[in-house]
Amino acid sequence: MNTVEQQNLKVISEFVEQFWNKNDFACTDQFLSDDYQELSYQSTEGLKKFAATILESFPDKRYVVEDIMAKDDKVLVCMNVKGTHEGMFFGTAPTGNTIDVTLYRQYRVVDGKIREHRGWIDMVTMWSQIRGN
Amino acid sequence: MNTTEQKNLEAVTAFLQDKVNENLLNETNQYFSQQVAEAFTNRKYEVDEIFVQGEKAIARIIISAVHTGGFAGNVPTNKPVKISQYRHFQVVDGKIVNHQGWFDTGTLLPQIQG
Repeated sequence: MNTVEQQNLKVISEFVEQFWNKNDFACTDQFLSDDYQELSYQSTEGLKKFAATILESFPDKRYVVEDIMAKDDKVLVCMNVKGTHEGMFFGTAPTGNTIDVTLYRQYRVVDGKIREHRGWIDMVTMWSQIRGN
Repeated sequence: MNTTEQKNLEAVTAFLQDKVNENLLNETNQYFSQQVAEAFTNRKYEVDEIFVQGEKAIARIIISAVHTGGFAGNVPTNKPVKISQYRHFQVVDGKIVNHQGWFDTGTLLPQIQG
């Protein structure tokens, strides 16, 4: 792994902690580039709105990075999220059920700023945990 | 990428390109993994990207298929779909010692929902 790849890993680790765990949604100003491409939530605003929805639905949510790998300007993160369903989640009233779901995020980092993001999550498992079946 | 990582990348690439292994790519730890193989037929596998670090590798595989069976409460649509899979490998001395896959359903469900 070269120095840039190491720096990119550091940027993404910090962003995941600050944005997804500390819920500092305004930190996008600091971490994202001006020409940021959001490929899963339409836009930076879409990303923040989604994160706010998740926080409202699962107030105790906690993301743990299980694997993080860099290749050139790309960083792939494999994460786990756990939380309790205590708020409305896309039309489903709180159930008190816990979720334990795997997700992946891939970023591109250019000159220390996040240029692009795309995410993948196992919604079938998540919905089955929310519905308790 | 160092020489060992290069060798490990080659081992993972060779594994994924060998059609003999395609059935292994239908198996994951997810409770619905068997349903995936039954509901999505005429599957074609394509390696999208591989990340390697030391003994670890993670590949993203794109499976093109047709939705011909029920899946997670969704009746067959006969639509073509693209399913993303991540597969983690542990490679020692150029040999795969274990691997574990995961289907992405976040991008799959919208393709088969009305």
